[in-house]
Amino acid sequence: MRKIKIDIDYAKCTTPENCMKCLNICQPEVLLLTFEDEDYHNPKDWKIFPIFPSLCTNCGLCVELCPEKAISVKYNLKKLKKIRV
Amino acid sequence: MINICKWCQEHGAGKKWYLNAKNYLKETAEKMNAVEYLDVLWGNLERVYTGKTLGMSINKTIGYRLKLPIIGRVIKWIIQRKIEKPKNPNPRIAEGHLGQVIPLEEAKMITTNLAEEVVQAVCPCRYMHRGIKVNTCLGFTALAEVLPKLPRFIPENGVKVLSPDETESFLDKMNQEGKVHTIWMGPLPYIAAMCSCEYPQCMGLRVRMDFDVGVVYKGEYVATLDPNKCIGCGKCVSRCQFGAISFASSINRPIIDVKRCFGCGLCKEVCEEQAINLIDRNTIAITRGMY
Repeated sequence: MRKIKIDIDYAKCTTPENCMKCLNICQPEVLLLTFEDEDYHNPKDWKIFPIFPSLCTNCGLCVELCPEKAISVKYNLKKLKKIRV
Repeated sequence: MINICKWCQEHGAGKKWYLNAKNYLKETAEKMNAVEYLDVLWGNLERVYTGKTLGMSINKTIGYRLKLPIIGRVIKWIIQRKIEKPKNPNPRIAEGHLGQVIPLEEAKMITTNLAEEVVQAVCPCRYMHRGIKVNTCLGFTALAEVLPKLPRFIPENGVKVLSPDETESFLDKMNQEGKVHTIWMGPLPYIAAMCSCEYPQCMGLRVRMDFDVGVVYKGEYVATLDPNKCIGCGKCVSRCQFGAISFASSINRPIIDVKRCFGCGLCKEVCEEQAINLIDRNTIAITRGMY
């Protein structure tokens, strides 16, 4: 099913709430800042998730801009041609 | 798919449901447990799309599935039924948290006459999408109780109740910046917040525009153009966020696509010749019942 695969290496991307460069540069807003801990009043574990990979245009700006090189985008052209848009 | 007049009869006393004072009262908030609901909802708002919520989890990538010919329509129908579920809404999945677009005059009417306490808050959508903290959301009575518990949504000056004059100038400023006024429900009939949304940054508008899931409903109005008054300055074209207005240079005036219009009235505010009018959605045959 998945035609565009966005992977984020969480070992390299540790403090996204201080950086947020990929959030600002992404035009279709595929990436989203969320947290995973249960204490929702004052969360600490912020993470960046690729929520809508189907909207990704593969411009490559986030891959270039990331200071830790944590983002990778895989793009399968053969499968993409089969989708009716 | 979307049937809003069901609410007009249930919650609006026959007229527009969001102009009914009962939906803003403290008693309805207590009756619907709005404070508990909003506490969990606003605390978990960033997590709504990462869980199995709205059918959108990271592993499933619903964007592709909604574009499939028949399965997509079935998924949309299931999601729509889940969000509109009126009894015992689950705040973690944002059930019963729906919005509607309203024009500027009605937004001012709500803040001055109907809502009891108006409080400013940091927009959660813009923080999770862009990492910016802007005070563009207005919370009403129940949300004012919840906000002090959630430190990341408190503006720099702290939580304070706005006077009617302040809210009016605030709404004017938001309108000048080209932001769409929307009202948002706590659990379904109770109206908890009024936001100033923009298309890519707002969670509701983005799901509505990109995947056609009815989280935000269209307004009660539709914009129409008076061709005799229009001078063809083209200011209204860039104001529309929904792609409803296009400029035709051969006839030197814009063309409004009524089917795409959300009835926000942003184009009307910028028109100096007053060539654009808002008329009731149900008076035009094509857009009747299209919310």
